[in-house]
Amino acid sequence: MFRFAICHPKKWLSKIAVKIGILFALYFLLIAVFILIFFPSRLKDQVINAISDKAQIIAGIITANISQPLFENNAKLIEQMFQSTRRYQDIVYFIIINDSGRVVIEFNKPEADRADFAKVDNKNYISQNGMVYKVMTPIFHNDREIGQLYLGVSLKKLKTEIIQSRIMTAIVSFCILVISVIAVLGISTVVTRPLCNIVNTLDKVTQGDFSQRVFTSSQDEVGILAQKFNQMIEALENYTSELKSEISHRENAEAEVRRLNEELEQRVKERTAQLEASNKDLEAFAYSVSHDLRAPLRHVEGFVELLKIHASAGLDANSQRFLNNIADSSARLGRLIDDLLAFARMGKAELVKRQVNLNQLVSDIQKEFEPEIKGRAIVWQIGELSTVYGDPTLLRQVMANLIANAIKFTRPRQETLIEIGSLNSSDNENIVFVRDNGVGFNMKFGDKLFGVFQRLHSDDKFEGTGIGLANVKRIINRHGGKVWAEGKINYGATFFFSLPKYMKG
Amino acid sequence: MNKLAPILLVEDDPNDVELTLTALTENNLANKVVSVRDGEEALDYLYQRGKYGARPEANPIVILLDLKMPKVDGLEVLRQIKADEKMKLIPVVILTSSSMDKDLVESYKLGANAYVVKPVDFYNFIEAVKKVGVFWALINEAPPDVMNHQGE
Repeated sequence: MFRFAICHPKKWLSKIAVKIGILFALYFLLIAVFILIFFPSRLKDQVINAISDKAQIIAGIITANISQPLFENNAKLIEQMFQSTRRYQDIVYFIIINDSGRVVIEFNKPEADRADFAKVDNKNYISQNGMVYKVMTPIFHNDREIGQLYLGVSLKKLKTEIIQSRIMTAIVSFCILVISVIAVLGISTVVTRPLCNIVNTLDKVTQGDFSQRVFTSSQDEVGILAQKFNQMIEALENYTSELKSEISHRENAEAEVRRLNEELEQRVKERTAQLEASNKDLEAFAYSVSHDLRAPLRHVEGFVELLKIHASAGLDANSQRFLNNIADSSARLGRLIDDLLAFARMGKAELVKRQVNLNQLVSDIQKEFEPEIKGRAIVWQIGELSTVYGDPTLLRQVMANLIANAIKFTRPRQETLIEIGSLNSSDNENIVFVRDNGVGFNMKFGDKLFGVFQRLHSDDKFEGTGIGLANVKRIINRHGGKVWAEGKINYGATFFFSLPKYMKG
Repeated sequence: MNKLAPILLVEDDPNDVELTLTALTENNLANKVVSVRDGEEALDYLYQRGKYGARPEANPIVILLDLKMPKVDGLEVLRQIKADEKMKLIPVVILTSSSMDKDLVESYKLGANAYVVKPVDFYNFIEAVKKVGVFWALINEAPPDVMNHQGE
């Protein structure tokens, strides 16, 4: 019956049983106190009335019997009466007064002190200490009052009885109280046990076990509560299983996405590897082809020269011209092969990246070109070119190429203006341009400019293989930059390229 | 020092042989030029085997060695020559159209004395061969011919 341990509130005083018990005890205590105070006084009054009646009856009997002897002044008879009256233990006071006020006979126990008597009504008195009850009865003889009788009755027994009854009441009350409190404590389990059931079940539910249900047999409020809890647990169970399936769907979707991503990564890797391999193949191809092309070219050139040496004396003008054409063409073929070789080789080389001072580079290149531009009127406008991050050798090729082009295509001009500068750089890249006032080009063919072996001018006007700009584009692209050009026929051309300022990543 | 020792030209392409011979004779070098067509013949000549069993000349003063040859290729010939205690004293000039880094490195690793890329331009070619010939045959001091079966 006392299974408190399982859902024990921490504070002993919080328990429902204890609360109800305390309330009940207080209530009962109140009632007990009320009873203790109220009933004994009622009892007391009733007992006093009974004693008063009894005293008056005795007084009546005595006065009736003592009437004649008193009239006759029969002392002996009065004495006899007195003695028999004395036998009543309760009577503590006895006095007869005749009509002249003289005390005929008196009997006075110590407790019946005459002094402190208060009148209760016109015939009865009660002592100050409440221990004696006095009645006064007139003595009549032939309808004439010949004296008074005062009779005092002890209230000691009454007092004792009252005290006893009070004690009795207290003891009984206390016993009832204790039994009741225990009973209340026990009976309150009627409420707490189902509540504990609910608590224990809910404990298991919060651990995740939604199969639990509260066992309830009662139909009272707690029983309804238990039922409602069961409904709630069921709802929770459904809800969590829905959530779980939702989560597992999401997880599946996520896993799918991850898998697809990995697949994609894998495919990208494969494609990149393929591309790299194919690039390498192309480069190797270009390289070996240009090598293999060299030997027969050498032979052609060699034998043409030997022919010229050995046979030109016997050849007519046309034949000599033919020979020269062969020689020129094979020379050009040689240059094409060399350029192609350089182009392919450049693709294989490792980039050695450092900070490169472009201004320094430009002035070095200018010195290199000095012999070539001797006698020409060239105005150089070179702006502040900040340092860039890249391979010095390759960047040198770029600048040399662009400057060489500027020099070449401004040859027809009286005064050549070559402008080199930088513009609109963003936070992490530099844009450099080389501008000339040469023959320019038609922007319609702008994108062909950077193609391998692409030329927009014929060879007899301006020599060249058309690989220079392709090289420039390749080098700049390898650095992570871009190249582009603007131009107008006869109004010159501007070539732009962008380069990163700092180390990538 | 036998300054009239021959120059051994190891070259498979007949056009190249003709051009090189022309270049060498242009310079009026007194040395005879012996040309062999591939690596196997080159080794036969050096070791006086096969059809070169009884070659009269002394060992070559320099070997002009092409790399791309059938049968035994240039690098293999170089390896064998430089592995032979006596043969390795003979200077070897690689004369090839290959400018590939790996051929260059490998040749020097195997002990080539020089590496010349044949220029495409005829006049440059003539010039280069002339310089090579003059240097190795005239200016350079060759090691003593310890394999000369004609004896000192």
